[in-house]
Amino acid sequence: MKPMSEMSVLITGGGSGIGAGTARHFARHGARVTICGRREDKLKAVADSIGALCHYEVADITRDADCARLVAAAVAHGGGLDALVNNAGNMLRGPIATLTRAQLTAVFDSNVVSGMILTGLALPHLSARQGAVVFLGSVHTRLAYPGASPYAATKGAVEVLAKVLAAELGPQGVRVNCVIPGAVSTELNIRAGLVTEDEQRVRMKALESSHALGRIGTEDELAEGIAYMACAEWVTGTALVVDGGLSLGMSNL
Amino acid sequence: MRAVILSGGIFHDFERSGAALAGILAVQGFMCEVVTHPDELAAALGAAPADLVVVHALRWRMQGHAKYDPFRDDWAYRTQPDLIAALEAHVARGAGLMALHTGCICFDDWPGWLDMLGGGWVWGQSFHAPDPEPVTAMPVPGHPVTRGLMPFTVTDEHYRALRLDPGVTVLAQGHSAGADFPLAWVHGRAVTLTTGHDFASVIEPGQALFIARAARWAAGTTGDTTA
Repeated sequence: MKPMSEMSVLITGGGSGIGAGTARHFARHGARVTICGRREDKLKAVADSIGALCHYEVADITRDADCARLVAAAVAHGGGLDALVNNAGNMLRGPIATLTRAQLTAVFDSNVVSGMILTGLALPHLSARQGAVVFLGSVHTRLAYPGASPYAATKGAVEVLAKVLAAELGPQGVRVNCVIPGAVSTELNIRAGLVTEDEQRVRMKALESSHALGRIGTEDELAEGIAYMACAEWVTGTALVVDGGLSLGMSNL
Repeated sequence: MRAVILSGGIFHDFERSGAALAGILAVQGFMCEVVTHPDELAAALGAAPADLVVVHALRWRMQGHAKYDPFRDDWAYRTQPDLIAALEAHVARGAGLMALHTGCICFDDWPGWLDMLGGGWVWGQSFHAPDPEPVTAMPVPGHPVTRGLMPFTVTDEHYRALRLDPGVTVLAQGHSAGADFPLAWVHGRAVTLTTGHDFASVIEPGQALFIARAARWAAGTTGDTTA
């Protein structure tokens, strides 16, 4: 395993949820982390809680120039780059007949295309350090939720991306993997306007019994999976499901 | 610290390399503003003083070669009095200046620009290889910018046969294809680095560290926060 203490890690969507938890996890083990997001107050709070090991950039990863600035900042902050965690993403749900091309293009841009652009920009640096890319998939690719087709489609795309890029980049020494999170209480659905904070709490509580382990996950537990995929030096082109057994699809038939 | 970066021009992916520069400087604590026209640089300096101006652009009269014809209407630039006044005032108050790569080609109708830099591109004399090629930068010890820096190799479009004024301090010597030449120098608080052709070059870790160090020194800040 690559020691985290020697790593430079770039994490998109690091201002909250799984991204923030992943940044804290890597930094706790001595890694230099660069996080990005669109809300400076959130990013600053995470960076302040970590200290000098963390640098943040306010960035919109659907803009090429922001992606370039972000990769450069990560290289400058960490003296190189060992891992790119493509965590940032947006939620879009809705009945298929109501979805517009603009909505669908935007969610693919943020959840799929941006990670591809960042991976391309970071590639020489990841190759120089025999580094890794970790995409964040979703349990939506294991269980079908009616109305979640846009989000599920983007997460299916990144899971396939991880496999294809693993084959493409393996000869350059770069590993590419995907982590499939189960239910974790993040701001994703709240930010998308799908639920209020109170509704999110109720929803998460209701989901507990769907997990073999009887509870939803924490940001730290997801971070452990992401860190494993970033550090395990003979693991590539695969998906690690970190979901407490949610995707077992338990039912009371 | 406030930095204003002038980016933009032909034959280069300035959108990415200029943004990369902003990322490198941000890690050093600079609040960066990227502008894409010299008039915007003059306006930015008029609005508020900056600690550092970086010219990473290719804006000049575009005379002397037919290959520039298709681009001249959009990109040719004659140096305006407002820009000259803004840069002269910036330098006069002791603030930092950095010319990165094409920065030392800019403003060819204003001799004062190369005087500020202590050298740069001379049409009819200076040249570069047709394609980027590996160049090793050998930092010259004895200056705060280069203290402790290790040599680095970058694939870049490096400039040769430049004007170099007496009294400048060479910060890095370039070595490529058996030739040695000045790659970076300092004149007053102005640092010129002749490499930095594209995104990959700008963020090569050795070069990024050199840029970070040079920026901090030019802006009057000592020390290094880069790994």
